[in-house]
Amino acid sequence: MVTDILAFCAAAEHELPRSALEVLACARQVADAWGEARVRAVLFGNNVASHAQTLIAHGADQVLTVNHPRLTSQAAEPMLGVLEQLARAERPAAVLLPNDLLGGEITPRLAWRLDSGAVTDCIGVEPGRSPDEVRWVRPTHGGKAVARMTIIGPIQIATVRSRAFEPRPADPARAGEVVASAIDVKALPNNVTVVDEVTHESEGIPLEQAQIIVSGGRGMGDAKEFVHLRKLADLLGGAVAGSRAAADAGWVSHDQLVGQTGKIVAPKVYLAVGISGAPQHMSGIISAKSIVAINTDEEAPIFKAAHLGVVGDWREVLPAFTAACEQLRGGG
Amino acid sequence: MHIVVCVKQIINPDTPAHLFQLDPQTKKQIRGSQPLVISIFDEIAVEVALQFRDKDKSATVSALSLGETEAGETLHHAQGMGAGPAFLLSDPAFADLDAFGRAHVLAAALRKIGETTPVDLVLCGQQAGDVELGVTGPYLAEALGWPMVALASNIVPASEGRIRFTRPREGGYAVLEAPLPCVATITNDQSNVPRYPSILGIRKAMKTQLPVWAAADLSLDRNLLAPEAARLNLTAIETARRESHCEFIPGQSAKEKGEHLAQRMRELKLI
Repeated sequence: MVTDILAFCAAAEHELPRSALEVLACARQVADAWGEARVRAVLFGNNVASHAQTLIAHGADQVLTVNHPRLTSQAAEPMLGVLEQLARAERPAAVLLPNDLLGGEITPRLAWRLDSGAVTDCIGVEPGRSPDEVRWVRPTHGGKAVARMTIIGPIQIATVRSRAFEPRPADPARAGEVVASAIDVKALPNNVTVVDEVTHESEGIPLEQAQIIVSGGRGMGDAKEFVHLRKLADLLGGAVAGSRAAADAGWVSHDQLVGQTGKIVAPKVYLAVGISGAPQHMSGIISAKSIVAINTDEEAPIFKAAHLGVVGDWREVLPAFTAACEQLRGGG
Repeated sequence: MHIVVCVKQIINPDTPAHLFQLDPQTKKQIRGSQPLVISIFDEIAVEVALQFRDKDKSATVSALSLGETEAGETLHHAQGMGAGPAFLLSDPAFADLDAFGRAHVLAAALRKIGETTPVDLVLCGQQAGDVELGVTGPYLAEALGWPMVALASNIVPASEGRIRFTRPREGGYAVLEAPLPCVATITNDQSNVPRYPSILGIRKAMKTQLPVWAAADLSLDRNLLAPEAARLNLTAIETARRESHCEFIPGQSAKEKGEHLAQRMRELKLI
């Protein structure tokens, strides 16, 4: 019998989230370690079958499309129902999901129904050679510890942290089959309904997608000072964020909060300006590739995690830094 | 409307990294001199329940905690904020349960609470501030067989037998509706910053007898408390090692350091 690994993917008609490719990369890593295993992407959405070839190019052996207007980004319950039916009928060895709104709800509920355990927010996996040897690697205690966990039960169910797995390069020559699911989505329970959706004018790039994040903390002193961070972020093509202190003071919106009670980010560069580096903030940035800190206090904890540091007042450092960046950019 | 908020007591999550230690035997954090606190998202869940009761005085907000005797302090904290009845689940048999076993105990307690006053809504923080698994709320929904709403930030009244929640999302929010009874996990936004507990409220709570329930007080299959019932095994845990070689940028003045920083970042291909 072929061992199946299901990789969850919820997409919109014109947008396949990067997280789907990251989940695929994790599934592929596990499948290749086990050998004789097949990665099946389960593609949820409405009119999303056009993404199937992309999923195959990025590592899926089969794409199972579950197409229905009900399958929006807020509809965890019917997706849970589909995965439960699939798992009961076809006994896959593992189901992997992104650690987001949908994955966070579906994963534990699916595990409960299938009498298995669930591990969330994995940053790595040690697949071993078979399903009973897998060890899931995840941060705990705000990133101060790393745990290795095993699931006891008939199926491995886990979510993977955003940006922890690099999508595999697309290989247009990869072959795979596309199959439409026969599950009747309309017949599945859906107790929770969306009665309203409100969108504000949002500023710039979402933090999860930003390669460069310019972030300000208590040391910024005032909301109006964030204009300097915005200017730099615009110049570098990045996004503006803030610490808990900045969010509590109302200097940045909740969407921009980074840390344990905000967003977990993993940009290429995280530039922390006037941020001391409280543990609850650090837990949000442990996956940043490079942390650059500007702070007047050379003893600030942020420097313990930073790769590059400037001890000095941002009011003097930042204008010079921004001007130099402008020049470097201008000079190519 | 009877809302029960599940609250967990944890070791101060803001323990600085250099004081963070793990016990190699138990694989748990060593408390040291750190205070025990209410897990942040659970405190926010209490706030969300209280904001609903501020508008609907007929609502009851209860608090439920599974932990050691000290977890009574966390319940007093919730009561000091304004919660009414509180219930503590404490038994040496609960000490080493995984999230799956803990959810069974909490669900049994919720059923018992419901025998006196039917429970309409169960709130859980989105994840505990220590192990950060985020599975308790969804597990309770399954154990109770109730619908759930994930990552809500506020409760909004709805028609009889139903409830609405706001759920923040990128650049806005959604309003969701579910039938009662249901379970919701709670996340934070600008509107639900927890109020401070009142000292008077905490004193008053400390004077009342806190019901403490052990396994024998609950209608609970004892097999679920056995080590073999666990669904997760923590095989190893270690302190995260951080490569902390901060390269400090030299310069005669702050301005010069700023310029040097840009040059260094360009050399490293960071910008």
